[in-house]
Amino acid sequence: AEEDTELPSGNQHLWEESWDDDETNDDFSKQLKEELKKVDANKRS
Amino acid sequence: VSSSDMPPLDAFPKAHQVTFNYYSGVLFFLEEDYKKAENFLNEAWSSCHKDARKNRELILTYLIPCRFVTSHKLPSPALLALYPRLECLFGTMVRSIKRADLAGFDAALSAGEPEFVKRRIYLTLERGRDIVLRNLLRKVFLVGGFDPLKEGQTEADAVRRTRIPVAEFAAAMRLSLGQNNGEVLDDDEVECMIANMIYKGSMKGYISRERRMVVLSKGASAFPGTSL
Repeated sequence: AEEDTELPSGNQHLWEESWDDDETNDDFSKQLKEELKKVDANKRS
Repeated sequence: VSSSDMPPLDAFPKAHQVTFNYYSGVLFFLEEDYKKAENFLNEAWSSCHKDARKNRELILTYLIPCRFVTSHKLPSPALLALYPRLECLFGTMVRSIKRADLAGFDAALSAGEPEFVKRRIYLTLERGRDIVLRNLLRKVFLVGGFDPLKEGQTEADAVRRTRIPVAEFAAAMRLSLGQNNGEVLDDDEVECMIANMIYKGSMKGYISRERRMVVLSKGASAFPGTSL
């Protein structure tokens, strides 16, 4: 039942203490890499 | 609220204490004293009976935006999953913050606007945009990779690139804002936003105007942790 799964009233698990990851393989990072290459190419031309 | 001529709070029934702490928290929240608001709301949260779901939901409605501002902390997916109404209010927004998705954040803010205004949390939530921005700038830093190794250095000495052209941040913002909104943003505006982030301490470094370059502080300290 839902009542049994209620989290403890303390602050553990309720908040994401650290959601910083060093992930650069997500879709957005991949797109970003492409965009930054274009920036770089523009500067050189 | 002056409590000097009243008995101590813990002389009152627990339920009244929760109510008192909740309303004190909300009052400080509306006065934009988020630190005090957070203390009262935390107090209310920790003494609130776990079956009083409606009350716990109300407390979190203010505690979640409060923590955006005070510590850049986000509610966990587990917490939101327990409270469907809160998931509905904050879910998309929280996920956009984590993804550094400005367009997603702006859309969530405007989709929820009537409800946010009604609950008087709109202006506070708006400040969450700074966290999206910080995450976005950090992504540019991460994607930027490492400086080329100098002679005698090994992989272990690799240092992340700390000199990043403003143009790269601008490109990232345009990408994150999406096609429609991104076009209006020019490099000067971006520079201004970066200066703001540095001023607020979300990012450590300085802007070299002549070179149009952001010089970030070395090591892992360029983007202080999410709990400021």
